[in-house]
Amino acid sequence: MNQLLLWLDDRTGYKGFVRDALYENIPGGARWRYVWGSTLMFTFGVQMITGIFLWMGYSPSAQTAWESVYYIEHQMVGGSLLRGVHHYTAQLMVVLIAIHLMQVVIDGAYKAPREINFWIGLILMKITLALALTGYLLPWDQKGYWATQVATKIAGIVPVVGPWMQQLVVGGSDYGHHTLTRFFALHAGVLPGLMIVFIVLHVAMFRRHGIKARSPEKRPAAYFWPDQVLKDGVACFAVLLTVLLLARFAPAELTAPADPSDAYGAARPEWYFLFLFQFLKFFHGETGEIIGAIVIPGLVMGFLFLMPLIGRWKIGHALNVGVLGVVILGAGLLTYLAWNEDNVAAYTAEGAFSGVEGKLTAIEIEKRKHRAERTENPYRGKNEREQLDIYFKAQGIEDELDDFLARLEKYKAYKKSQEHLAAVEEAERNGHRAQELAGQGIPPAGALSLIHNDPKTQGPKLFRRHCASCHDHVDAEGKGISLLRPLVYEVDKESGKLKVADDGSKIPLPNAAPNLYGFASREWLRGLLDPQKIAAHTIDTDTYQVRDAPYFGNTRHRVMREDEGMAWYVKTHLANLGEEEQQSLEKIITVLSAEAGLGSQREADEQARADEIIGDAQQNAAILSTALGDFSCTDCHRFHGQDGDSAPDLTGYGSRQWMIDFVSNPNHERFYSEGANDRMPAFHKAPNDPNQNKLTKKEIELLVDWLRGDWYEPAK
Amino acid sequence: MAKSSPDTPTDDPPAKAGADERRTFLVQASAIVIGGIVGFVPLLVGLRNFLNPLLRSKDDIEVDEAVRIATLDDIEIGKVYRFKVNAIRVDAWSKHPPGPIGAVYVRRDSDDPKVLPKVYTSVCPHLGCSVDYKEDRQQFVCPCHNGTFAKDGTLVDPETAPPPRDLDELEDVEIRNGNELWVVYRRFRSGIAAKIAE
Repeated sequence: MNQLLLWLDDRTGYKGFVRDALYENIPGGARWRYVWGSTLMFTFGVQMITGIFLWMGYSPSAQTAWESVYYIEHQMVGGSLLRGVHHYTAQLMVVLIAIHLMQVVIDGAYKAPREINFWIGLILMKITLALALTGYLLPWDQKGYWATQVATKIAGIVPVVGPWMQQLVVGGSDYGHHTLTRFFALHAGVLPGLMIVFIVLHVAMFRRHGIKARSPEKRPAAYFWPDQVLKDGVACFAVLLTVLLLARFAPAELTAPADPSDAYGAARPEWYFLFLFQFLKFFHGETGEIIGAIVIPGLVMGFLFLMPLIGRWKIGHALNVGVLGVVILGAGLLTYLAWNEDNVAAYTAEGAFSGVEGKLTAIEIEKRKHRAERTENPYRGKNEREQLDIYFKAQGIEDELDDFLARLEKYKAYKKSQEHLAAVEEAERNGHRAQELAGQGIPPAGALSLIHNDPKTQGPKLFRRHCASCHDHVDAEGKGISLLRPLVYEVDKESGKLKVADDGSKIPLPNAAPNLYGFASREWLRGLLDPQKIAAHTIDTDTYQVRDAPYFGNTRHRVMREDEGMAWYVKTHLANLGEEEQQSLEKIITVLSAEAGLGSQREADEQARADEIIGDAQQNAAILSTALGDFSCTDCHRFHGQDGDSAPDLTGYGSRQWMIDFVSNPNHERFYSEGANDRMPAFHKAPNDPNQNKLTKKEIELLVDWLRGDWYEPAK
Repeated sequence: MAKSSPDTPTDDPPAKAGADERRTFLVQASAIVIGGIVGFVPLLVGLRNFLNPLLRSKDDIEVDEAVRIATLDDIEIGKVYRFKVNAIRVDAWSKHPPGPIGAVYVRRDSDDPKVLPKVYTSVCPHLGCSVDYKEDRQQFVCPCHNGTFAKDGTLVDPETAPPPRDLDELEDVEIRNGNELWVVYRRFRSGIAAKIAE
């Protein structure tokens, strides 16, 4: 063995290298305060190793980046840990650089003869930040995509060369394949390469100058080996342990795949860039932006570079330390402000703003009241401040206005924070859902298509945009989608005054449509055929809104006319059913509801089939032809060959196809023909002329699937 | 400040006294152990992920399902046909819709419905090139190293031919609905005498 080592040393001189590396002289001996440089070297090593292994699983393109990161994170053995270590080490590296820099400046280690090495250190810091920025985009998830957009847009506002720089970095004018290939080449090739070159220079020069010892006279000098090596090792171990624990217990996040069409409300840079993000809020307009995003940060960096020169001056060192202190404290303060603005709602007690909310609501109710009662509305056309003046004057509490305005500012900040937190929560939910969907295997078009074709994600969005102005979608507990419906009374066209019913009451104008939660389920039909519920509505005259109208209560169908309409029939003929008729009704509900083939009712439907309540089309038609009161369903409705024709066709009622057809065109003769429709628009009435339709066929399918509760859920 | 170049250390630390030797040894040992840990753990984290293809259980990757190859009407008795195998392909994160994932050769020896057609994969058992069927010679010929197989898949000149075994027959063959040929498509390890599914 010894022979072999001698032979090796003879050929390579390795013993000299080892001796040089280990027997570096440290005046004053080993100290904990010398560990920071070594921990930085260590973190860079960790990033090189984990980075290369991640490289083996990563695929940079707009259709595969998120997908391959998902695969690393969830399908590959040890992938989550690997990615987590890379993710957290990157963040720790930024922290360690800040510590290292502060120490160097405070100790005056930037002064002669170490000026050049200080500059190299600053270059290394910039490379590290560039690595952090480029790496953030690579997963191509919402978080990285939107945060990086801001960074490249900032590059774009640099005078003269900005637009070119931006295009060069982005690889075109829009984000796409080449943005990823370029960012990846920078992140995994160019930047680490530069980093290695500058680290070699940094360390070589450090060895040339030796350590900038702190009070070396107090203790004897020592070699680097073994005491300082041990201290460095322990520090690196602490770093490693921190990173491993974070990676294990708080895996790196992966939000939903980047979606340029989505309003991503949670866009924020990574935490160590938050101070710059916050700083930019203080600047306005094009010039302001250039000053805030480029000039001032540039001046700060410029000052850092000039520190060795300034340090020669008598009070130069004190100035350097002072400026760095101000910069670091300022950055810390800005980070806190940014964090606080986003999170203030999370630690604000519930009801903290009930006073403000109460007054704002009162003003809203006043406005609604004037509109409903057709009285002179003093608030019309006034801005917020004027409306507050009017209200406080009317209440005789003008002296409270100033206090209120101060509270209102805070309340608005609180609401903004609340919105941000909701956006973050939604981002987490969407990210989780995207990963759930990806578990089925991702189509070659990429994971974004999974999201765009997911009823669970798209249904509520489409419903809010196209249906919620009339329909509610709320469960028995009142949770779900429900917009406020102001109360509006019917007006006599001639006199322009409110119409009054025979009993002297005003007549509310229908302005909504049935709650579609559980549409066509047995529960839903039971309510529809309940004389107490079909035309019911709850009007809240204190707040001037229609609170609840589950079926036709807030539609024109509720109006009772002699001998006509579903509401009339249910209220007059189904009100006093005998026990036998009650059973017939329950049978009708079971049979009709089974037409929908709802997933949530599969077992109940199968049971009813086994019990022979549901039979073939003919038997089912016979059941719906049972008269309850003076009529049967099929007297008006068509159903499997029974051809009533004055009301919507119930064949396949609530089934996917029936609903698609209905939403596409409710005025079709199968449904509400000849003006029987209240106000439901046709959403897809021209299949051959796509530009004429409010919704595409695909969108209607997504809506219908969502309403029917028909979407992918992973097996538990 | 000392300006020492590594070659000529100037102010060497004083030699340690004998009493410190044990302490020095402990420090050295700890430094080596901790240094080793911090060096190797990141490497192990990466290596474990790198070994994914070996560590991952096969069950959740591949599904052995029969695929439809052709109808019997398309296969004349005694002739050899090449058909594409269309199936869903899962490639890491991607799940591709049914498309060609390989090819098989099919030969029917009898129109007795009880006699199943013979199905061979087109992959050469030697080193995985795609075998071609030469109608005029009535032989399968591998374009890479001249491996030749008779019409029934047996290796020609087994003493001198490069392939280690006969052409791989797919044994899970089934006739569905009277005339549809369904086969479980498999790949086999190449270069060895035994026929082992991958």
